[in-house]
Amino acid sequence: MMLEIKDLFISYGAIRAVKGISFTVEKGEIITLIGANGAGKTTTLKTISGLLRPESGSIKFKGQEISNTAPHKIVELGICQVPEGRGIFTNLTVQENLTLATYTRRKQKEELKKDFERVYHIFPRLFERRRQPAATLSGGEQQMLAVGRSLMTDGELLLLDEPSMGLAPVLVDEIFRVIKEINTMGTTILLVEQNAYKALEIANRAYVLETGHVAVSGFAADLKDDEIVKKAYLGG
Amino acid sequence: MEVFLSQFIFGIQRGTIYALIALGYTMVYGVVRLINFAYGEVFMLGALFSFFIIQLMPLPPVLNVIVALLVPMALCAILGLAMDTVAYKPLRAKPRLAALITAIGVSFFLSNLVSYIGPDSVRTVSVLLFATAGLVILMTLSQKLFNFPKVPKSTGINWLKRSIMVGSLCLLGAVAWIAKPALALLRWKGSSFTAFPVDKLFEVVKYPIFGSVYITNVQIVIIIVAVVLMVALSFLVNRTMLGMAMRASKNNKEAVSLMGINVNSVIAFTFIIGTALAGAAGVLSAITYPRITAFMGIQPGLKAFIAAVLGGIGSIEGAMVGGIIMGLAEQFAIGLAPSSFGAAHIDFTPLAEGISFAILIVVLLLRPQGIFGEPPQDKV
Repeated sequence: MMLEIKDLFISYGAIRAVKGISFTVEKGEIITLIGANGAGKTTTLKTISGLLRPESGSIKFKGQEISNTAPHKIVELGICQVPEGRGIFTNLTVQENLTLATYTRRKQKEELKKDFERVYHIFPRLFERRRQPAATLSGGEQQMLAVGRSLMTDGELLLLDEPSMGLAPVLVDEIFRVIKEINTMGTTILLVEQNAYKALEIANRAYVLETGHVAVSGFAADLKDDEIVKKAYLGG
Repeated sequence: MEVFLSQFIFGIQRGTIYALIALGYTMVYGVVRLINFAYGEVFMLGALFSFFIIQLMPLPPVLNVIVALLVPMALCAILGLAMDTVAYKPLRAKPRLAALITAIGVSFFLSNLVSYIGPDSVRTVSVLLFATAGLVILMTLSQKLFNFPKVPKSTGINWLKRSIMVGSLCLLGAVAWIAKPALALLRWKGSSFTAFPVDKLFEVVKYPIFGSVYITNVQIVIIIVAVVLMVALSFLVNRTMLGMAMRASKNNKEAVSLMGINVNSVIAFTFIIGTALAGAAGVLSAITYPRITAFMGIQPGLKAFIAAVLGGIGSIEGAMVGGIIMGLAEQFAIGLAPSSFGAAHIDFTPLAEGISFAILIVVLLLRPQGIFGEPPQDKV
């Protein structure tokens, strides 16, 4: 079991955003959390990566409890996150953005070189623009940089928060193709998406969140044909 | 022309000192959006530490200059770390105003503490430190035994932290107790002027440039040291992982922590670098204006802050350029005022004090973001 979440409650002050979520992620899977705005998807991801503290409940990564660990320590354990809104350092160059992500493994010179090649191979556009400040990239390129950067941290589990947000349809297809490719290369993926249809296409299993609860869960292929899910999230 | 040139040299020298302090303001502001008003006091402590070292350790020339510069820098760096840990870190998640007021408090605390530490009063300070340590022990015991005063459950009593706190208070108290004879020997006078022993560092030599214009070896040393420090800083900020993390923290701290970097360490390093530079500025300034007092940091501290605003707060190049401009402006205001051309009955020296604030007003009116600053924009 790579990630095991049990009875997670999370609050922002007086507002309880997540009310007892439980789910699991197995090694090698693509798991997606789908649901409407305010369902608690982003909150859950932020809590896994340590940016928020849960009120109660447990988060176990490879058997180790991480619900009270600092975010930078969680990265060292092997969880990396592409945050909501990408979190690109716009005042740094593309290359610097990628380099910064290698902080925890700055001593592995040889492997790093290979990883830079790998990221630039997946995203040739980033190679062309490696010396430009990230602020000059287009939205799609910034999303690629965010994904590329999280690959450089070399985590075993990649948390993706709305990777398709604000992208043109062509780029959405491209991003999902890349996510699938990253998964095939061995990274486990936990994907939060509003574009439920696309997410269900590439995921193994899915959890549908509704105002802080898991409403439905199951294999992605089954959920895609489920009448209730179809009506609520897939537009009929 | 000759007047102009010699004033120019003095102005650059004055400016490099402002620039070094301004770097601290601007770097910390860039990363945590805090104006750490205590840099003036760090500047004063740099000069003071240097004074103690020169008096206590007679060293051969050249080596003594290096030691008298580097050791105060290191001590100021430790002070910077302590300042961040004790005063600012606990307020990180609180509204920014709280940290700003704390910064003013730290500044007043340091200058007044130093003004108090003359040979006559140092034993009182020692007693106060011991008393504080005692109070902490008492409070801890009463919390443990009677659950009073009440503390939130989650914070609890951290024995290790409290022991370290009590230990360091007692240690400081002991140091202060022993310090009395040493301070008497040093003739340190707290709030009144103490002469800085420049003669133990340099024999001032004047090198003529042309006509009556000359440059002294002291000025050369100051300018070289300042330039070396600024080049080193640029290298650190632009070429190292730490510098990259600092620049990234300016942009998005949450994302920095998602890169596996401890943001609090990055912030602590920013404080360390800023205070080390301010300490260096204090030493360099004491060499030129060889008298030190507990309150000598207030004016340079304020002016360096204005220099940082002028250059564009948050911008490192801005702090350097802003500092130099301020130094030149002040020096020309003194040197080229009409008194130099015969109107001797009017004293124009106060003009130099005022011009920095005039610059601040003009900058805020015409270009609030400063020379190198980015125009203010609301982040979504």
